[in-house]
Amino acid sequence: MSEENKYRIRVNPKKPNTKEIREKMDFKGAYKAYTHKVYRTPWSRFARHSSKNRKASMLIILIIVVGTLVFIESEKEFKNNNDALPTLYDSTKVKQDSINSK
Amino acid sequence: MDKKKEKISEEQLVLIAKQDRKNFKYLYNLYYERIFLFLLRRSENEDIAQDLTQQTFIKAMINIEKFEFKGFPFSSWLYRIGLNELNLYYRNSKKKRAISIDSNEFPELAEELPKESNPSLTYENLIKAFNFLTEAEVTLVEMKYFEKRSHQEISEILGITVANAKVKLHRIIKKMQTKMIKIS
Repeated sequence: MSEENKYRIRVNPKKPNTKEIREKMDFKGAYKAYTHKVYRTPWSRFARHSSKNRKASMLIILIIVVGTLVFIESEKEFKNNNDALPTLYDSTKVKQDSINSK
Repeated sequence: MDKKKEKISEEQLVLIAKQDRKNFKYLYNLYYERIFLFLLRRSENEDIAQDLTQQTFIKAMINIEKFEFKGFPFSSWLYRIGLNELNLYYRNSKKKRAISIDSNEFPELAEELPKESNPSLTYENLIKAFNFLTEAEVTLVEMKYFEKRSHQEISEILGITVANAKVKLHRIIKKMQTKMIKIS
């Protein structure tokens, strides 16, 4: 955008009076939009209206569930690791061929 | 009932609005006109200003829990939300930012401009000089010279220090002066 017309400048624009503004604005509309925005999901209803006890118990349940899932996952991984043990290289094992050649 | 509530301090009004959003009505009735005119000056028309004002109040109702009195009025917080909504509107619509100038406000700004720029100080040049300012700079000029707000109020709305607001305004005036000389 060139600097020549970066802004739309209006000189002496018409200003509405108090009565006109009052007709345009209404609290009911804003409040309705607010409630629609705030209470549209079950989560927002829970976040805004649940008691502290309910929120605390939900947090505890969440921690237990997540903890259990993590525990199960780590157990599974441990079991998999035990099932497939790597073959270790035994340095004391001497091949028969090499002895015969000597 | 409304008149009764106006006698209650702003802090109490905020408190009762925090308890029940239906009580936000009293704050709404106190400020809707000022916020509407503030946004109308910066937007294209009344309909957009109306939408932005409603949006400002909806955001205020949603976030009022976060508002705490720290020595500045509730209106400053509303103006700041309004400005953010306005910036969002212009960013999304990609339209040119509107600036409204009242010819009565021109002498006030002209007085502030240093005398060296007097030969170039015409109404036309002043309007042209606005095109060289950033949006943030325009906002500062509007607040100080068109809306006649104090440095204190400007700093509260923009979330800057009073000293910073003064320095910024001084630099903007210098910039405008340079541009006006260049234009003429």
